[in-house]
Amino acid sequence: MDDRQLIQRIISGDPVAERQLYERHVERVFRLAYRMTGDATLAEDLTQDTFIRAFARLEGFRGEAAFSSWLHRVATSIIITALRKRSRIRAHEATHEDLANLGRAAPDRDRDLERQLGRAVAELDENHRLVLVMHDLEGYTHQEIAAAMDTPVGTAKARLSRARRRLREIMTGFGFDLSPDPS
Amino acid sequence: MTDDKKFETLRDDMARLHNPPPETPRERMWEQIQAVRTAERRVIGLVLWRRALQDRRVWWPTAAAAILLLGVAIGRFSDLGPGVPGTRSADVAATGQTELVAEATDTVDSSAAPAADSRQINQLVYQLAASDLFARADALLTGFKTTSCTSTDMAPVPEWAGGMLLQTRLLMGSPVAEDTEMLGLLEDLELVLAQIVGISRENCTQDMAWIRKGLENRSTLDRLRLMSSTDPLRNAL
Repeated sequence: MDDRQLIQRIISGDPVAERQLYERHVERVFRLAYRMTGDATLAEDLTQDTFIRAFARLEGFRGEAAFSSWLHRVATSIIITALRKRSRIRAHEATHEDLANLGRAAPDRDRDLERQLGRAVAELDENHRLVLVMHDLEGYTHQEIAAAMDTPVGTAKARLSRARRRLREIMTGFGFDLSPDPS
Repeated sequence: MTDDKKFETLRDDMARLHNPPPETPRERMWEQIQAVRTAERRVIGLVLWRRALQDRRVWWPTAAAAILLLGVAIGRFSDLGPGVPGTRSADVAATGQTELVAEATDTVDSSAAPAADSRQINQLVYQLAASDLFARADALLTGFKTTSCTSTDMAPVPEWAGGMLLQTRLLMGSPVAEDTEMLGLLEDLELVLAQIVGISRENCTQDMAWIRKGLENRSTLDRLRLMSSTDPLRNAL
C-alpha cells in the first residue's frame, strides 16, 4: 500500500494505517532532527511535534507532492524554529579562539575533529546547515531537499555549494589543512 | 591528496562524527504522539458540548477534565509532591477525568439556553490549561531557585521540566498564543524549561546559576504568577 492509500485509510479512521505511515517515515525524520540538534530529547520532541502536526493536517494534504516531501517540509520548519530559539540558550558556548587552540596538543584526533566540526556546522546559518546535513550526512537527493525546503532544485544546489564553501572556510580558520599537497 | 579529496575526506569524517544518530525510539515517540492526539480529540469533543456552558454545575468539571486530559495525554503528568498546587498522579487523573466527563455528559440539559460561541469555549479551555501550566511552572521554578545540584530534590526536576516543555510548545500552537503577552511568556517559559532539561552533570552548578540569572533578568516568575492568578472562569461565568 502506498502513502496515498494509507492516508485515505487514516482519514477514514484506520489506526493501523496511521501506525504504518509513522513507521515508514519516522526514522528519517528522527535522524534529521538528531543530526541538526545533537540532542536526543529535543530530537524526540521535534519528531513527535512533526507527526502530531502532520496527522492533524492530513485531511488538507492534497497529494500534489509526495507525502514524504510534505512531511519533511513540516519537519524542517519545526527543526529550524527550534534551532533559532535554542541559539538564545547557547550564548555561552566556546569562542573561536578556544576552538582554534583545541587541536594542537590533544591526543585524540577524532574527539577534536568532532568538536571542530560541530562548532563549524553550528557557525552556518540554519538553512545552510540543513541542506548540508540533509545531503552530505543523511543522503537526501537534491529533489527531496528542494521539496522539503520549498525551493527550486537549483536553489537547493546553490545553497549546498555555499554551505560547503563556508564550511571549508571555517575549518581552514580553525587551522585545519585543506590546502593541496605539494606535488 | 588534492584539495577536493581532502574536503571529501572531511565530509566523510563529518558524516561519521557529527551527531551520529542513536537508534530511533519508535515506540516511545509513538506513545507520546498517540497520547497527545487522543487528548486533542477529546478536547474537541468537549468544545462541542456547547450547551453545557450554560449549566454551571457542568462547566467546571468539564473544564477541569480538559486540563487533566491535556496533562495526562502529554504523558508526563506526574505527582510533583506535596505543596504543589493542582497536581495529581497520572493514574488518578486518568480515572478522575473519565468520571468527570461521564458526569458532565449525564448532566447536559438539551433544553438549556442558546449555545455559546464554540471558539470562545475553545479559547477558555486552553486558557485554563495555560493557567494550570503556569501554576505548576511557578512551583517548579520557585523550588529550582533554592535547590542545589547535589540535592535529591533536583533529581526529577529535568524530567518534570521536560513534560512542561512539551505542554508549553503545544500551547504555543493553540489559540492562547494569539495574545502577544501570553506568547511572550510561553516563549520565555519554553526557553527556561529547555535550559533546565539541558543541564549537564559536568557543569550543573554553572548551568543552574546561569539559568537563575536569566529567570531574574526576564522576571519570568513574576509574570508566571501574574498570569496564573488570573481566573479565566470568572470572565466566562
